[in-house]
Amino acid sequence: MQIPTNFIANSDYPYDQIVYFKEYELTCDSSSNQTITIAHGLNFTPLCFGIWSDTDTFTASHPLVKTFSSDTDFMIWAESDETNIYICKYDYRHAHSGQKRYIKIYAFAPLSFTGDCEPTATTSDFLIFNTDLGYSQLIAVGEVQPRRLDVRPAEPTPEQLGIYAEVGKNGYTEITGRAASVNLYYFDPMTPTAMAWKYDAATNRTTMDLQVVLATKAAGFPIMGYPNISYNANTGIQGEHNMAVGTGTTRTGQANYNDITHFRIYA
Amino acid sequence: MARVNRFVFNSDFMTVAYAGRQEVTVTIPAKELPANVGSASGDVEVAVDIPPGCYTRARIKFTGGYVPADYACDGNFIIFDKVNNRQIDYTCRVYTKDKKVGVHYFIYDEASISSPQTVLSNAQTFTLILDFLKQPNT
Repeated sequence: MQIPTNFIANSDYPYDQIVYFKEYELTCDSSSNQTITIAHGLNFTPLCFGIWSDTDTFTASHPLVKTFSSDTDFMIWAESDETNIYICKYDYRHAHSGQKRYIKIYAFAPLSFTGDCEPTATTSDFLIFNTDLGYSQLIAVGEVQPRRLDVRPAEPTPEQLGIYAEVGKNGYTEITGRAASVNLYYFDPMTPTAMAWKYDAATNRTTMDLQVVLATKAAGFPIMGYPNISYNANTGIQGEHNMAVGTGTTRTGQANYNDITHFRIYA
Repeated sequence: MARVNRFVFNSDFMTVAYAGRQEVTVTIPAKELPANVGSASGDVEVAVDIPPGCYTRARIKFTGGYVPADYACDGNFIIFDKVNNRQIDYTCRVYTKDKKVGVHYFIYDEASISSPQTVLSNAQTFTLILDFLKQPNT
C-alpha cells in the first residue's frame, strides 16, 4: 500500500516502539538549576521525550523540552547519555521550592541501535489495538551529522552537500550520513509531522530539540542553532511537497562536527 | 521478540497513539514592556477538544515574516521583532490542558531591561497544527 494515511495498519511502515518509560515525582529544591540522575540500564543513549505537570492527574501538561534560556519562567527537560537520564529543572525565580512536579519520560532507541530491549508494556501478552485511535506510522527515521563547511566534495561522498529522499511512498526509510540538510519529498494527501533530538558532542548528552525561530522582516534572518525542520508546501511538482531537516555545518554558532541530529517523521 | 528495528508490530513495547489533530490560530497580544523592566509575560489559551495528559507534537506556521515560515515544533519557539529599532524577542512554550491548548510567552526587549523607555510590543499571530498523542498500552 502506498501513502500511509487513512488506514489503521500497514506493515510497510512500523509503529513507534517505546523502549523506556519512567514516571518520576520531582520535589523542587531552592536552586535555580536542579538535576536528577537516573540510570536507565539501556545499552545506548535513549531518545527521550515526555510531559510534566503540576498534578499527578496530568490535566495540564507541558512538553519535556528545554525552552530558550532567556525565558525566566519555570521549565523541566530531559537529557540522556549512554548511562543515565538527567531530569533538569530551571527555576530562575526560585519560586517553586518544596513543590512537586510529576513527570512521564518515554524514550525511543536511536536508529543506529540494533540490539534487544526489555519489554515496556506490562500487558505484552495482549495485542492492543484500538480503532478509536490512529497510530504513529513511521515513514522515515534519520541519524545525520553536520557537514564540514570547508569540504565541498567533487563527487557524492558520505560528506555531502545534502541528502535527498522520497518518503511515504515506497515504505519505511532510514536515512544516515553527513550533510548540512536532508530534503525529504512527500506527496498528497500526507501531512507529516516530526520529532527531533540533538546529540551535543560538547556535553556528550542527547535531548529533544527542534529549534524554531520566526522573524519579522525588520529583524532579518537569525542564525539558527540546529536541528530544525521546515516545510515547503510546493516544490513545483503538483502534489509533491518538501520537508528540509537542517543538521548544520561547522560554521561558528551552528553545529559541532561530532553532533548528531536524530529525527523521526510520521505520516 | 524484543528486537527494536525492522518490525511489523510487537506488543512487548508501548507505542504512541493519535488522539486527534487540530489546527488553531493563536495571537500573542501587544504588551507594554514597562520602563526599567523591559519584559512582560502571559498565557494565551485556545479551546480545543483533547483528552487530558496528552503529549503534543506540533507544527507552526507564521506568516508575519519576510517569508512565510512553516516548521515542525516540539513545543517551544522564538519570534524576533523590532519596535522603534529595538530588538524584541518572544520566547514561547506550548502546553496542553483539559480542553485547551495554551502558549506561555515571555516578551523582552533584548537591548536593555533597564531602559527608562516603555516599549509597546506588537501582537503576533501564528497557526499551530497539533497532534495529540497518548500512550495506549501500558
